[in-house]
Amino acid sequence: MSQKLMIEINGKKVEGFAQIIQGKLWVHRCGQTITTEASSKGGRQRRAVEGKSSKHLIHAPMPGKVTKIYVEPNQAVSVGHAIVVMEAMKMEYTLKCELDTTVEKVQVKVGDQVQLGQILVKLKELSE
Amino acid sequence: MKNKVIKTLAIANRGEVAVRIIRACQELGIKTVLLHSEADIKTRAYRMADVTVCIGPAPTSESYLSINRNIQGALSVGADAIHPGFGFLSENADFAEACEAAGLIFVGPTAHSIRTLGDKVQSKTIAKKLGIPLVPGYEGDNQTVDHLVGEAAKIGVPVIVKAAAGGGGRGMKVIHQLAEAKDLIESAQREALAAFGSSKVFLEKYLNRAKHIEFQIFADCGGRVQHLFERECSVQRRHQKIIEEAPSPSLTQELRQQMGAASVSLVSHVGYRGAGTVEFLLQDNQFFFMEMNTRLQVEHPVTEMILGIDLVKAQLLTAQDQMVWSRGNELKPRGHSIECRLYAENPFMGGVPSTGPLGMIQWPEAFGRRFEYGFDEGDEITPFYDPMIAKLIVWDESRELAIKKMLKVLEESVVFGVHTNIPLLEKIISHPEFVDGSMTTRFFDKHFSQSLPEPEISAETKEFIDQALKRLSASGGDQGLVVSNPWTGFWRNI
Repeated sequence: MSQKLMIEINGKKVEGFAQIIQGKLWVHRCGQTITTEASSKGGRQRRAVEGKSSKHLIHAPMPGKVTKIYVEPNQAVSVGHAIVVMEAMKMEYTLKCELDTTVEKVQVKVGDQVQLGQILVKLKELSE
Repeated sequence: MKNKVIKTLAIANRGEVAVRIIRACQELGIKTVLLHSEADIKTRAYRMADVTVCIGPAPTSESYLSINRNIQGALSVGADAIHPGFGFLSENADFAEACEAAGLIFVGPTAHSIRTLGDKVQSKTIAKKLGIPLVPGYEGDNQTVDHLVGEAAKIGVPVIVKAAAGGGGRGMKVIHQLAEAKDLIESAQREALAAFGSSKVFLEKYLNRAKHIEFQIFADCGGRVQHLFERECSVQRRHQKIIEEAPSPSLTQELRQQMGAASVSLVSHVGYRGAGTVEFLLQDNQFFFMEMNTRLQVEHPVTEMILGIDLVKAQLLTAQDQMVWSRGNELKPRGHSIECRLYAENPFMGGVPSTGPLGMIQWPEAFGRRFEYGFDEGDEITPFYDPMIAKLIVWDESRELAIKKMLKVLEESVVFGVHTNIPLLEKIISHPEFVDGSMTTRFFDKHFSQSLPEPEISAETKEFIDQALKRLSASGGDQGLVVSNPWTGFWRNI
């Protein structure tokens, strides 16, 4: 559970709140709330996922529902092109393209409930 | 007239407003019934209500927006009245009518009042007749996208698209270029359908440096309509209010008098009952009627704070044909009140919604601070509903003092488990344009359209984090902490 912690740093008493929730450490002190991974294993795994993510993958930035898909495989898309519309908490969010490329694969359909980080659309990767 | 009595009140809502209504009922000795969805068991309202009735699964169309399920739920436990709160069915005339037909008192205006004043199109027709200034627009029945695009072109960009049955920013889009009109209108229609069950939209010239000023009105059971002064809600994002205050720092006494009188004349036109809000845009000292909300507003507490009144209790008394404020005893505002809406979202990632189980929650209670919230530690924020999880309200003698107090409250409020917009609220409320009171409805887009930069973390806090982790985690271990969200990359597509 949550704890009020008093910690001594260089002889100075430092106070704040801390709590681990689902593998994450939450800290509040001096008007700031900070979150970090609480386990090294989880941290590594997540960083690995982050390493793979790049502009050619359109991910769900939050859990929610797919309400519109603007593209189909092999379609040419350019920077700023709307790819997918998602709805979460009753608001619409439009996911846009950051590359000039073509669509490789659409991995969801309208009405799908998707998870945070789920890959929705794959775009063709451009060789640098 | 026979007096109506409410012994048991059903609440067709959730979250902090359900808690607000339960509290008022407890004080009046009214038993409460919470009509809730399967997803809302772990909430304060669920624990506080005398009786709970599950009316359906998480999707709003099968629970909170279902007229039949709400009424059946209320009847099943012998309730004699329903309070709709705000959002959901609160402005649905069919619901008000169905309540009356089922022998339930609807705590709000009559179905007829909702149909005429709550309808964004009809209310304008009445306002026009009464000589209240309107923003140019299109409010016709032809809802084909091509026709709407044509009308938008006639009005001239920027044009705002709004849900006819809506509120709360849903189904609202601003067209800045005609090329994007079709997409935006379609998107607004979809949002409107999803949120309100009707895809009808209307168009309006978008005023680009206007202030949002609204007047709280209240009609007592004797038919006397009075305005309870104004609120300013110019700090909006995607047409959703974030910060509200009363009184407005921008109204002259003359404008206050004129706009108040216009509000009263509009509401008096239909024989209204209970609480309502008349919304205006104010630009260059000219005001335009925007819409009327025939219900309690999210931001009603700031009015309560400057007047020392309880609007929910006033609604409950009025519904029972009881007088609330004695005549001849005029209400006078005093001091200044500000409300901040706390959203479960990550301000460092463009405001992406944040969901999950809540950890520690701490509100820094003191004089002139009020906290309206729907969740405690151990509850869960789900993706099904509005991201607003709490409202922080302050009152002080002056606007300057109220701002200072709010900054302190934001600094000391603790919410663990989901990200909140507290860091964003702090930036807004200390922004020079907010501090001097000159902000318009464009204020947020102008200054806060980008994610906040990741905050600086002091060496001391880093050390604190390291030590806290050692003490709290069973495995302990020395590790380099990544003080950033690994999912940041996913948000940039938006």
